[in-house]
Amino acid sequence: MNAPDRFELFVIPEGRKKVSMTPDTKLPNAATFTIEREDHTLGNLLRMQLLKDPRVLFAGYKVPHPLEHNFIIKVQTIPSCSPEIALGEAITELIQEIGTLKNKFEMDVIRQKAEEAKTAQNDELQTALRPGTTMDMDF
Amino acid sequence: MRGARPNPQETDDDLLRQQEEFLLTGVKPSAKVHRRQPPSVGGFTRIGTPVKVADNAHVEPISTSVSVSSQEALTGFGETPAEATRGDHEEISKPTATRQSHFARSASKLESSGALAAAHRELLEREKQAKVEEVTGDPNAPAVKRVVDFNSNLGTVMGQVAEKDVVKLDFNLGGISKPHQTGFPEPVHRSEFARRRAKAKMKEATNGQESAQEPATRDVIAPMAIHQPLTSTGDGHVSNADNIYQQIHEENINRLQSMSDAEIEQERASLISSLNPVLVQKLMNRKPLVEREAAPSSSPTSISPSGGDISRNLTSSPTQKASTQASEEDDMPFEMNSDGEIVSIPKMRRRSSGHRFESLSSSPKPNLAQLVEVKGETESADDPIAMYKTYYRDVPIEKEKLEWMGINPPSKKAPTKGVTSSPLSNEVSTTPTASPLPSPIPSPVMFSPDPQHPAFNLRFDFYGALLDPASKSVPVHKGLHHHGANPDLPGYTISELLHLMRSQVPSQRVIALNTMGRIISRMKAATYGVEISRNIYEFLIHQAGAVVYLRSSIDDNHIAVVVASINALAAWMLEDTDCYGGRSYFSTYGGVIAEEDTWGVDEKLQPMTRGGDGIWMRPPHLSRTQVGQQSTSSTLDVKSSRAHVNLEDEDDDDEELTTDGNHAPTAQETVMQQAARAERNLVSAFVRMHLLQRFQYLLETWAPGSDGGLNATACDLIMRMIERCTRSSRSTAEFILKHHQPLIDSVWDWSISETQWPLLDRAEDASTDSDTSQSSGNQTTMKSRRRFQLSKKWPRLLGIRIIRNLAQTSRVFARDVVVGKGYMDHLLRFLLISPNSMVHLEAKTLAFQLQIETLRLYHVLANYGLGCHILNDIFVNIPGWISDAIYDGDGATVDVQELRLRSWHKRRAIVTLTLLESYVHNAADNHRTEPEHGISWAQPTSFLSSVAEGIDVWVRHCGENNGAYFLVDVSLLASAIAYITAWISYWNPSGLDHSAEEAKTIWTSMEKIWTGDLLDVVIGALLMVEEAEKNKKEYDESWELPNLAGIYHPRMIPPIKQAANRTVMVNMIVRVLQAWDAFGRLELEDITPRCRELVQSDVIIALNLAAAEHAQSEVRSAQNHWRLAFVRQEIYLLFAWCQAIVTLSPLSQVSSETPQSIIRINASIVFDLMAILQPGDEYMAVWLLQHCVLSPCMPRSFTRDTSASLSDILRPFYRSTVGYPSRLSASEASCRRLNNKITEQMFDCGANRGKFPSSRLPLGPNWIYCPIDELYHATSSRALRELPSDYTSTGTDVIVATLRMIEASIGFRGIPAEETNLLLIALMKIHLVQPNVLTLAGEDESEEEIFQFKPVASLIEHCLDQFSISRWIPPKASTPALEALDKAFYDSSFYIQKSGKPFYQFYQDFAAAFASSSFGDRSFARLLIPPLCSKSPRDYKDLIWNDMNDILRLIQVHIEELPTIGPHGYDDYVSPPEQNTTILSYYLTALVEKRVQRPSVLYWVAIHHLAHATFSKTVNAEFGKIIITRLVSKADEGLLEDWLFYNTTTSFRGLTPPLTQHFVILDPTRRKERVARIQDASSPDVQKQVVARFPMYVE
Repeated sequence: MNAPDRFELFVIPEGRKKVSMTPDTKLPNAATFTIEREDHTLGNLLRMQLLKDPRVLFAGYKVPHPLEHNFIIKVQTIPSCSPEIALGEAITELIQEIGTLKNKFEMDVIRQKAEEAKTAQNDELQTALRPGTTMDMDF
Repeated sequence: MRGARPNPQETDDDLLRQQEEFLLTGVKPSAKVHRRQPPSVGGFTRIGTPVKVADNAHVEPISTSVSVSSQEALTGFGETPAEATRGDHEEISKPTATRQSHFARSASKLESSGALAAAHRELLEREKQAKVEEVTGDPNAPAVKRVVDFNSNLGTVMGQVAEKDVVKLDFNLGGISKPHQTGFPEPVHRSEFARRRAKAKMKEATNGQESAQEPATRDVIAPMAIHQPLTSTGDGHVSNADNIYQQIHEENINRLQSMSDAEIEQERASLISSLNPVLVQKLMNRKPLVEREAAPSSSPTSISPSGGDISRNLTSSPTQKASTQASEEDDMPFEMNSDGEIVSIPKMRRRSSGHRFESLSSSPKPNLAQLVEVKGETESADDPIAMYKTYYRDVPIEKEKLEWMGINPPSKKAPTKGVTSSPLSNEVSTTPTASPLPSPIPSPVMFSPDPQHPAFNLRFDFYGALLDPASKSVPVHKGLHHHGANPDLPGYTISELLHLMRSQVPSQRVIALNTMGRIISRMKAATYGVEISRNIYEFLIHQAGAVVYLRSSIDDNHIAVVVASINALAAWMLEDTDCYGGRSYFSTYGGVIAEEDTWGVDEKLQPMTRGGDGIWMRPPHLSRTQVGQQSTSSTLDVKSSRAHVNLEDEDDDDEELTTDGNHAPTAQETVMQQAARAERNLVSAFVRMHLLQRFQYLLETWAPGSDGGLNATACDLIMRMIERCTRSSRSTAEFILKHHQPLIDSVWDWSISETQWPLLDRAEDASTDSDTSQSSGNQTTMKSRRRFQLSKKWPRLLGIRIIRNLAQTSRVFARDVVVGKGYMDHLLRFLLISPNSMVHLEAKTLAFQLQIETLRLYHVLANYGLGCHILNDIFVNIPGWISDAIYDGDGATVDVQELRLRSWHKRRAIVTLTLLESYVHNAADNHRTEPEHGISWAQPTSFLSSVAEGIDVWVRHCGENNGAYFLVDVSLLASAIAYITAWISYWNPSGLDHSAEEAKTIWTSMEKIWTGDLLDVVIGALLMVEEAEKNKKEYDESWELPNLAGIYHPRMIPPIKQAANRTVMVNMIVRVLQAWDAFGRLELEDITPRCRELVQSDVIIALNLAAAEHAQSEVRSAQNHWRLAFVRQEIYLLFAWCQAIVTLSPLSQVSSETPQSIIRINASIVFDLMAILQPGDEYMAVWLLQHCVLSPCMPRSFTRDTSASLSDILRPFYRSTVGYPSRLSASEASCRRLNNKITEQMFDCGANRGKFPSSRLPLGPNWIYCPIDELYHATSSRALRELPSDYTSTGTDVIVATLRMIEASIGFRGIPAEETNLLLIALMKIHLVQPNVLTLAGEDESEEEIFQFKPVASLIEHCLDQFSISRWIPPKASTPALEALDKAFYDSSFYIQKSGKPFYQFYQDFAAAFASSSFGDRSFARLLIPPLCSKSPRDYKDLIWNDMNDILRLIQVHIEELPTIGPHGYDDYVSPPEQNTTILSYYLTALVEKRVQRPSVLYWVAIHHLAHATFSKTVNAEFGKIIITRLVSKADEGLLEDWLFYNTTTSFRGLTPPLTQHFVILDPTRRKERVARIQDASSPDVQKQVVARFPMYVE
C-alpha cells in the first residue's frame, strides 16, 4: 500500500551522491560511507573484499532500513592508509576480479558454443551421410 | 431403573395403559421372565426382548431411549430427583408400550411394509448377541456393566443403521407425540377415576385409530405366543412369521385408510425427508410385504440383508427423533458442533446412553455399503468371531474364554482402547444431574489412563492404605479380592474405584467414594511418600480425570452417596490441618475451634500494615520448564488438546472467568477443558463445574433440621469448601459474587441468621460440659454434645468468614451487601453479649471467636471507610474489652484455664485496637468514610489513656507465665502502638484539641517498650538465621500439589507456623519504627533527636540488613507462591526504616552530619528493596524512587559526578515500569489509608503472571536496567509512548544515566553472583539500541552509535571491569554459563517474555551488529565471547567460528578482560575440552589462516582445544594426525610453538592473570617429551619438518 515506488530502487534522489563519506570523529582512520541505491549484493561484496585487505582493521556494512535503498559501510584502516583509499582499491580489485570472472565466463561460453557448433556440424554431416533419413528438428 | 422417568413423549394414556398391563400380567420381573410382544409389533419391542440368561446374573432390561430422555429431562436445578422405584415392572414395560405405538403408527403409514420380517430377524440376532454378550463381558464390570452392555449392544445394532444426518428436525412425525410445553411429562394421576376416564377416552380414540391401540392390548394378551417362535427353530415358525406379516399388513392398511390423503402425503414427505434417499429408493422398488410373504424363507435369518437394514432404519427413526429432540432441548455441548448443528446423533444410537459422548472418530460410522457387506457375512455364519466383528468391535476380546469355547481368537487386534482401561460407567440414568449444567460425564476416549503409568497398578484397601502389589499370597477370603481385572490380587486400583464410583448400587458408590477420599487425603499429606503420591496425583489429574468424576458424584440423590462425595471433595479441596484460623474449619461440630491451637496463622497475619489483607491462595504458577514437564507426562492423545487449552488460557482463569457475562459460554466448556483447568487450578475448576450451585441446593434443601438431611459435619464441610472457593483467586471470588448471590444469602441464613444466640444449653448438657470440658476427648460427651448442637444450631464462624473474604474481594459487595443488607448490624448481637455469660467453656470459646470474627469483619469494612456507625454501638463495650486484657498481677503463675481466658481477652483486644486504628484513619478525614462524616475525631481517640496505661502493664508482663502467650503479648503491643501511631500521625501541634504535653505523656509511656529489653528479645529472635535456613529446607523438601495452594503436607506446617510467628515479631518492629517516624516528625525538641538516634541504632541497622537478605532469598525461592505473604511484613519493615531515615535525617543534610555508612546501607537496602516489592506496593516503589533512588540529593552521594537532571531523565522510565496509573492509585490508597478509594483488600502474590499483568512488581534485580529495555524494545515500549511532551533527553542521555545508576548500584552493593548475567545481557542490549531511538521522525541526528559515545563507552568498560575474571570470581557455583545467560535473557524483560524470543536469535543480532558497525570496539567484543564458552551448544560456535569467521580477527580481547561467567574463571571458558571434530576444524582453520592471533583470547581458546585434541587423546587419533599435519606444515613458528608446548595439565581455576604465562610449558625436558610424542604419532614427512623446526628439542 504505502510501499515505495519501484524506481526508488535505482533512481538516486536529487541532491544526493551515489557515495558519500563521513569521517568518524572518535576513531582515527575510520569513516562511514553511505552508498545510495544499493543493497546487500554490493555491501557484502565490498565488505568481504575490504576484509581481505591487511591494512583494513575493520570493515562492516549494514542496511539501516529495509525500505530505504542504501547501505552504509564502515571502514577503519591502519594509519598508513585511509578508508577511502582502501575502499577505492577494494572497488578496483572487485572490478578486476569480476572482469576476470566475466572474461572467463565469456571465454567458456564461446568455447562451449564452438564445441556445440562442431558437434552439430558433425551431426549434420552424419545425418546427411546417412541415407533415407530427414532432418528432424523436433527432437 | 432408578430415575427412569416418564418419557416426555408419553402421555397419561400410555402410562395408564402400562399400569394396566402390569396389573394384568402380574409377572414379577426377573431374568427368567420371557416376555414376547404380540406378533404385529414384535420387531419393535427391544425392551422386553427375551434374554436367555445362562447364569443367574441379574439382568435388568433398560430402555435406551428412556434413560436418555429421562436423564436429560432433568433440567431444573432445584428439582428433587425422582424417587426410584426399583424393580417396578410398570416402569420397565412403559417404554415398550410407547415405542409400540410410535412405531405402529409411523410404520403402518409406510407403503411398502417390508419391515416386519426384518424386524423379526433382528430379534433373533439380538438373541444371539445376548448370548455372545455372556462370552465377551467387560473385564471390569460385574453385573451392572453387563446390563448396560446389553443396551449398548442394542446401540450397536442401531449403529449399523445408516442414518441420514439430520439437518432439519421434524418433531411432528406421526402427529402423536408432541413435546410437552414444560419439557416435563405431565404428572401421572393414578386414581381409579382418572383411569376410567382415560379408558373412556381411549375408546373414543380407538374408534379413529384402532390400530394404534391394538398393539398394547396384544402385548398383554399374548406374550406366550411370541415366545415360541423366537426361541425355537421349529416348524411352527414360518407360519407364525407369515401371520405376523399378515397382521402388520392389515394394520397398515387400516391405518392408511383411517388417514386423510393430506395426512398421508405429510407423513410420506416427512418420512422421505428423514430417511436416506438411497434407502427410500430401495424401499420404493420393493414388492409389497404381503406379496412377499409366501417367499421361501425357511428361517427368518435368511431374509435379505437390505430388508433388515431398512427395518432397522425404520425402527430407529422414532427413537431417533425423540432423542434428537431431547438433546436439542438440553443444549448438550458434546453433541453440538460450533454451528449448533447436531453432529453426533447417529452416534448416540450406537451405544447405550452412557456412551453417547464417545467421539465419532473412535469408530467411524459405517456407510450403507459396508453394512450390507458385513451383514451378508454374518447371515451365513454363526461364528462368534464374525458376530463380534459386526456388533462388538468396541468390546475387548477375551481370548481365554474364546479358547475355552474352542474358537481361535481373530488375529487382528481389536480396537480395545478406551473401553478396557477406562473406568467408565455406563449408567447415567442412576445419577440424574440436578443442576442445569451439562453433565460432566467424560467419554472413555477422553480419559484413557495409561496402563504404563506407575500409579495405574497401585492397589488400595478401603482405608486407602497401599497394598503390596506382590502380595499374591493374601488368601482370597481376605484382602478385598474381587472380580476386577486381576482377581488374584487384593484391593482396588484407582481405575476400579473410579468405575465403582458410578455403580448402580448406592452402597457401592459410597464405599468407592469414601475410599477415594481417603486415598486423596493420604496422597495430599504424602503419606505414601512423595514419589508415589506424585504419581497418584498425576494419575488422578492427568490420566483419569478424577476431578470430573468426583464432581458428578455429588449430583447423586442418595444421601449417603452425597455425604461420601462431600467427604471426598473436602479431602481434595481442603487443608487437613488448616493453619488458617487454627482448626476451626474442620472442627466437626458447631464450628468451634479446638482449644489447643488457638491462635491461627490467619489471625496472626491480621494486623499487618495495610490492615487485614487476605491472601489469594492461588496455586503456584508453573514456570516455563515445569510446563514442559507437565505436557510430557501426560499421555499422547490427551496432550494435544490439553496443550491447546493451555495456550488458550494461559493466564489461568483471570480473563475468562471475569469476562463471562453469563452462563452460556461456561456451559459450552467441554469436559476436556474442565479437566485441563483442574490441572492448573482445582478450585477454579470446581467452581466452573457449578459445584457451588449444588452446594446451595444442598444447604437449602438438605441441610440439617429437615428430616433425613445432611448431618452437621457434611454441612460444615460444605461451608469450608465454599470458604475455600472465596479465597482461591480473584477471578473465582468475582465469579461467585457475580453468579452466586443466592448462595451467599443461603449461607448467611444457614450459618448466622437462623441460629441460636446467645448460646443456650439444656441443663443436663451444661452440667456435663462444665465437668468434662477439660477432657474433651471423651467420646460419649462429644457425641451427646453433637446431638445437642444438631437440635439447636449454633452460629457458624465460617459464615462470617465467607462474608469477610468476599468483602475483602470487592468493595461493592462490602458496601451493598454487608452494610446494605444489614448483615453488619445483624452481627452486632455477637458483640453485645459477653462471652463470659455463656454457660460452659465450649460456648464461651465459640462466643469469643464469633466476637473476634465479627470485629475483623468490621475492620475490613472500616478499611473501606464503611460502616463507621457501628462504633456508636460498640463504644461502651470497648473500654471493657481493653481493660479486660490488662492483667496487672504480681507475676504469679495462674492456672491453664485462666491463661486461656486471658489469651481470649488479649486476642479480642488486638482486634479491637486494630479496628480503632482504622477508625482513627477514617476520622482524620471525614471524606474518607462512606457516607461522609460517618465518624468524628473524638470517638476513636477517646481510648488513648487506657491504651497507654495498658502498654505500661503489657510491657511489664510481656512473656510472663513462661512465655506461654508471648506472641499474643507482642502482637497486642504492636496493635497498641499502631493505634497510637495513627493518632499521632494526624496530630497537629498547633491544633487546639491536643497539647504538646499530651504527646509527651504518651511518648513517655511508650518509651518503656524500647528502653526495656523487650525489643532486644524480639530482635534477637528475629536475627536467628539458622531457623530461617531450616525453614527453607523444609519448604523445598515438602511438596504441594501444583494445582492447589495450601498446607497439607505435614512438613509444611512447622515452617509456615514459624513464618507466621516471625511475621508477628516483625510487625512489632514495623510498628515501633512507624511510631518513631511519627513522633520524630513532630519536631519536639526532646523527642525528635531521640527518634533519630533510635532509628539509626546499630541493632536496627543489623536487623534491617538481615531482613533484607532474608526477604531477598525468600522472594527468590518462593516465586509467585502464596507464602510470599509472609515476606511482606519484612518488606514493610525495610520500607518503614527507609521512610524513617528519610524523614528523620533528610539525606540532603546527612552528608555532613551522619557517617557515610548510613547512606551506603540505606542505599543498598533501597536497591534491594526495589527488587522485591510485591504487587500492591506500587506506591512504595514510587515513593522510594522519589525520595531515595532518584532524589536530587541522592546521586550526590554517588562516587562520580552526575548531572543534576539524572532523576529527570530516568523517572518516566522507572515510573512506568512500576505499574500503570490505575494500579498505582489503588496502591497509594491502601498505603496512605485513603479508605474511600480502596477497592479490594486481598494480596495477590501471582499478579505479575499472564500476558498482560496489571502490575509488574516484583521488579526483580534487573529493575535498574529497565530504561535500557525500553529503548531496546522501542517499538513496543509503553514508557516511550507515554513520555512527557517536554522530555528532551536523547537515547544516549538515557543510557548514560542508566549506566550511572548501575555504577552506583555496584558501588553500594557490589554485584551479587546471580546478577552478573543480567548485567551482561543489559550491556549487550545497549549495543543494539538504535542510535536515533528518541528523536522524532524527520529530525536529523548524527547516526553515531550509542556505544561509541565516550561516556557510554567508558561506563560500559567500567562495569565490565568490575567483574572481569582478573578482578573477581564469584565464590559459589551456579548454573552452567549458557543456561544462566539464557535464563537471564528470558528474565531480563517483560517484552522478551511476551515475544518468546530465544537467546540465540538475540545473539545473532548482536554478532551481526558487531560485524557491521562496531569498528572492533573492545567492550563489544568482550560481550561477544561469553556465549562461546566451551559448554555452550554448538550453534553459537558455528555462528562465530565458521559463519562469521571474517570477524574473528576483530575480536581483540585479552584474557584478563573476559567477563566472569562462573566460579572457575578462565576454566569456565575452556573446559571441558572440545570433542567435536567440526568445531575443532574451525579452530584449526582460524589458527592457520591467522584469523585469531596472539594475544586475543580466542587464539588461546583454539590452542587449548587443539592441544587437548592432540596430546590428551580425547579425540580420535585420526583427527589428531590431521591437526598435527596441518599445523606442522602450515603454521608459523610462534603458533607452532604455542600449540606444541601448550600446558594441558594446568587448571586455570583460581589462577590470577596474567594467565598467559601458565599456558606454555617452559621446562625443556617436558618440551622434549612433547616433540617426541609428535614424532611418534606422525608420518615421516611431518617428522622431518618437526626436526627442521625444533632442532633443539629433538634427541
